[in-house]
Amino acid sequence: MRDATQALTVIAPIDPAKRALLDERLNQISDDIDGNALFRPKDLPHTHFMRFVVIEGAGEIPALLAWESNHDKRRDEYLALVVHGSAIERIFECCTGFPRQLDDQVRWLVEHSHRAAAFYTAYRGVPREQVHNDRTVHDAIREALDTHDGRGAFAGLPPREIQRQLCEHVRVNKPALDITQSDDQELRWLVGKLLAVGAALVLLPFLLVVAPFWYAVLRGKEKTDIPEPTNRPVHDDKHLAELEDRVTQNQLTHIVDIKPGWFRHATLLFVLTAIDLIARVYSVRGDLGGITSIHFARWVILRDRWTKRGAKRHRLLFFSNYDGSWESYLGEFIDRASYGLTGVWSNTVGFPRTQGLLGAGARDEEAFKQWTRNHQIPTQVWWSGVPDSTVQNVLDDLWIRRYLDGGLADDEVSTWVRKL
Amino acid sequence: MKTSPDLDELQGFLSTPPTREHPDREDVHPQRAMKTRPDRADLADIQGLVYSGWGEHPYAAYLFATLDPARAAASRSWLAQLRTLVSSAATNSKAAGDRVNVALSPAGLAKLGIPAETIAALPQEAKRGMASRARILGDDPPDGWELGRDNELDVLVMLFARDPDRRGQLVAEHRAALDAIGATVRREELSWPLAGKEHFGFADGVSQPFLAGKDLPGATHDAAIDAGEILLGYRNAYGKLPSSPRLGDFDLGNNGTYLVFRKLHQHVDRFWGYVADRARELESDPAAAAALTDVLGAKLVGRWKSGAPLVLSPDRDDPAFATPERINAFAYHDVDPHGERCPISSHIRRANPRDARGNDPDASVEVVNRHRILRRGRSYGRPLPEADALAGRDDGQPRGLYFISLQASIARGFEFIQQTWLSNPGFNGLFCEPDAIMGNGDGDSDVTIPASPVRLRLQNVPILVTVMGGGYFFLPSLTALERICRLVA
Repeated sequence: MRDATQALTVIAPIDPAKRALLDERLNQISDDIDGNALFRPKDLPHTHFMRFVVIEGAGEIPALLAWESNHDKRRDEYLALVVHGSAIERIFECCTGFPRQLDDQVRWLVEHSHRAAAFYTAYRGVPREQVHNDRTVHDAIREALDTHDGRGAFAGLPPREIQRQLCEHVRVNKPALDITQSDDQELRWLVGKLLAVGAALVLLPFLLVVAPFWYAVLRGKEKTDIPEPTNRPVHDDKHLAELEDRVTQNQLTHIVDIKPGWFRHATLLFVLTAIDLIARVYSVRGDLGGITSIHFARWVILRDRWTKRGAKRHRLLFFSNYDGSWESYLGEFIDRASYGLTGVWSNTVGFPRTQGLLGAGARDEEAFKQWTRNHQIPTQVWWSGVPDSTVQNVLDDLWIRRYLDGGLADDEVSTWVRKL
Repeated sequence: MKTSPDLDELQGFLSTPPTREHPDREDVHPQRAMKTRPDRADLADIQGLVYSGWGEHPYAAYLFATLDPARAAASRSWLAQLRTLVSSAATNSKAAGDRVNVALSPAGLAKLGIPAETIAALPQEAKRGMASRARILGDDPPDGWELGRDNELDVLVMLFARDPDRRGQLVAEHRAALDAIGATVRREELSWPLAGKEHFGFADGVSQPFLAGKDLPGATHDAAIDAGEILLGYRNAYGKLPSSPRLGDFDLGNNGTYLVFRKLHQHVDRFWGYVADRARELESDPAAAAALTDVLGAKLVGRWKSGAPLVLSPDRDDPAFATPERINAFAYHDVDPHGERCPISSHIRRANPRDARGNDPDASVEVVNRHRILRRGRSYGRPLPEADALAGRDDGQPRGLYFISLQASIARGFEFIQQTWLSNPGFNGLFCEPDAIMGNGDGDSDVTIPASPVRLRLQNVPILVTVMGGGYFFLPSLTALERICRLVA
């Protein structure tokens, strides 16, 4: 359980001679994600969501292939299972230097994996099998309730008795399902919170000393940084919307240059580290600063190792797997979480003008949406292991399964019955 | 039927007193002061449809035409002539005479000679056209659309008359004027005379087919929305001026708005036939089944046929709650958080979730008020007799709704509501439940009705509404119309 919901990001240069082949293969996979003969993400073990994205080259930086996986198990163990159990080599053999031997491939993937500077998931520590199991439990309960006889049979019964009968129904009809309560991780979050507070207290004196100088420099930079112009309603010039709104969930891939110089880089690292910490110990069940629609999201700082002369172009890469439409997602950003997002992306190029790191910025609705579209890139292959479920659905399923076999007070049982 | 209140009341509606300061909000166009509300001069400039559904004029006609790109000057002369007839928001809705309003698509504006850089500043969704937005809207491919399939609708002339003969005359005159400039009239859509209810049988404000107007007195759940949510040139809910197309120094968008037209066929036989079937399955007694039929119909909509909201009158259709003061005087969060009165998946709760998005009612209202539209729709086609509807018998006649909405941003207004609230199967914690009425489901969607002892789930609800076509238009101010007519090629 501790090993569940990990973030893996593999990024590798595409072999220019195999670029056309790669594009063709990604197309073929995307056209029939579950049935193609090349590589089926559904065959990947222990995987919640995954995507392949081509990051086009820029100057001396070559075109890169990024693989985002949200998986269970430790990274090396997971990669060994993937390499030995799927056809992922059909993709990565289009990258420079991908080895032939399976064990070498595992090592190569590890070498090309990047740590996420911040990683959030709405159900941290919940393995894919648990998500599927709980969804099936809930489906079985729905079926039981849907039959007319089932409804009639419950007439006049107290909620607890209804729950008992449903539990019995699942136990008898779906004996393979797990209906135990064994996923309590409260202690884990508590220890994490204590450690986080401790770390903050240790760092506080240092931060207090640095803060005034940092703020003075920041305000100076905010006055001279150049936001991207907006003089028309939001335009999606790259036709990104054609890859969106397929199902209940959607994807977003975004990459933008970090503002040059160490100051912005350090500020960004600090903010992302804070977000990562919050996501690890506080926001572990579906609510990141008021945003409730993200299944998995991560920020990765992509350091420029290729530019020989001139200024290096370090970039900030963002992957999100979210519920609902792009408009509603961006709306939530603006309405609920503009401070956090502004704190991150104000350190990148062209962001709408900010005030004191967190202010303004993303609250400029049209400018923020246009800036997001400007730096969003198409996601060639995207796959979800729970395509019909929203974050709320997943969390409801967990809760319903967890208390199916008792453990709730009377008034809570009423709520439980109401949620079915 | 709602009539037009006086000007002061109108100005009050489209304005919001500054409730708090937003120090982090800056004017995106600092060269202009940010207006928060139209003044009297603006009202004479704004097309009257923004303020009134022209309820005193029960007979509407919608003419759709394609302009001849080779005859821009002639088209401008036609528009100049038409402009003299256009009714502004300063028009008293009870005053004598016809009412005329006109909307133009981006393609139509281009054919009138509007330069490319101005067209570029129009909303992308309007330029690409409704037919290209099928994925966003959840529409089936528009191959069978009666109008708008090829984004061919350049001009929408809206005519409102007091009687059918006068409407016939108006249509003939305006068709002749369009013919004279070489324009092709694509469709002539005639409304059914206003009857106060839509075809499924539910009360219908002039502006709001399923949901009575939020601008009625007694609405407690929300403050008046910012003028900039509907009209260009005013501060919007984000404290910003919406971006606006310009002609040189002239703000072409000021006092204008964007208009969505959608022709929606209503399968009245399926609606009541399905509901009556379910009721008979659940209740063997015929009288009880008939009563349950009405209940289930109301649960799908969120209101009773009289318009009385389920939140206020959960058990029976009580017309006392259908008065203008009470019909909208409700919210969800405190009274009905779980939808036991008004199901979360009911049409009106999805189209306007009020204070029930998430756990914080105030935050919900604030967010919901960023996705509001004015509705100016009308019904078309002869109503289906109730006995036929309940028996699930169709007569094969066209009938439905001309859905018309006005908003400063189509993407954040109509499209957002359609996509994020109506079509979204995961709306507000629901599981695989698009809106039964307008959610563009596949005919196999479910509707969960919270009930005791356990919820009732209506399964395989058939497709109740079919989209027949539509388009996205710009509804310019009278000044903007005049400026367009003065363009020189």
